[in-house]
Amino acid sequence: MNDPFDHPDFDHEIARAADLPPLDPDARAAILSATTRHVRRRRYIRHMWQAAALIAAFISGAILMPRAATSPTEPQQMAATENPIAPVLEPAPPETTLPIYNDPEAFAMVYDNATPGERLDLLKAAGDYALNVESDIRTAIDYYKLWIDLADEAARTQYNRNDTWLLASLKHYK
Amino acid sequence: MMPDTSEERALRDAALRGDEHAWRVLFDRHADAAYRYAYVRTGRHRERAEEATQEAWMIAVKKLSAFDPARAPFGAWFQGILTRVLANQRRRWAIRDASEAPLDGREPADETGPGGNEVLARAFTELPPDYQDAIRAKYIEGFTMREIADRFRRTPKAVESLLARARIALREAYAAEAAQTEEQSRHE
Repeated sequence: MNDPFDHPDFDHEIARAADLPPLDPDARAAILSATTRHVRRRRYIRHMWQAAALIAAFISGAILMPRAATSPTEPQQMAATENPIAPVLEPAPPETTLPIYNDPEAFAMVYDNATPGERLDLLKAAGDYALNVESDIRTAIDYYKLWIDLADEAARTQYNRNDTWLLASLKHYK
Repeated sequence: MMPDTSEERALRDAALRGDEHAWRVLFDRHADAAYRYAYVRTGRHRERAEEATQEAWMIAVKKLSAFDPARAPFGAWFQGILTRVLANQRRRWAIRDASEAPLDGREPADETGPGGNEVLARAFTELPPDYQDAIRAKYIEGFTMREIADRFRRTPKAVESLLARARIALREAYAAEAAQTEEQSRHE
């Protein structure tokens, strides 16, 4: 067979070979829609499993706690009354209400008053919001890059299942 | 712009968690190249190519957990699925062609007669999407190196290198297709 690569008119040959139509836009939209439904279903199932796990944990806790309270074992009861466990006060999570991400000035004010750890959470949350709610990839990249610059080596290089696909890809590029 | 294993792994994992955006990135990146692959191999039959492409994408989304970026890029993995779908559908189409009345106003293919060098066309569709895009930008759309560089967000030098690699890959794919075609015609 004649080698088209040796043909003097190779450019024309390759143009003809490469001149193939793209997927029809309607067909493309239909395929994307059908496959995306499947992806979405996975998310619902995953949420259902998480909800089921939470409910199961709640129910088992609700069953076990009264039994523990009415247990005839004296040492445990005495320990419970003599050594009450002080409630652990978690630091309040950074403000994550929508207005902050929509309002750069408010966001900047919260950011300036935040601790370094809170700033990392804010940047990541802002990137997630830009990507997932506003579908604004460029803004999300900006926030994630700020996050990457501030985060320590371990956080930058470790894979985290809660990362969005975009953050995960930027982290790997680092 | 060859696929980054870690990026494809991140996209796969995100899509498996139900992230629609991640799935869309994979789909958009490979949809046209996959369709062209099917289009050439169905004898340039648009409907059959769309049918095969749709079936392959449904299989891919359901079996996405089987995609291992360490073994092959997504494009190659998907092409394997599409090739099997095409082989299965060929049997159905052969039966359909034999039983259906001809001349219903639709041509069996979009182009009558051989569409240029079919072996070269098949070889072209074997290339990864970014090689195909680069070749189409230069040879069909007629963009300059600078324009292609702007579109791909690379330097003109990098685009030259990409096109050189694409041409080498095309030559290799052409040699493989030509050998396969010759083998098939010997058996017929």
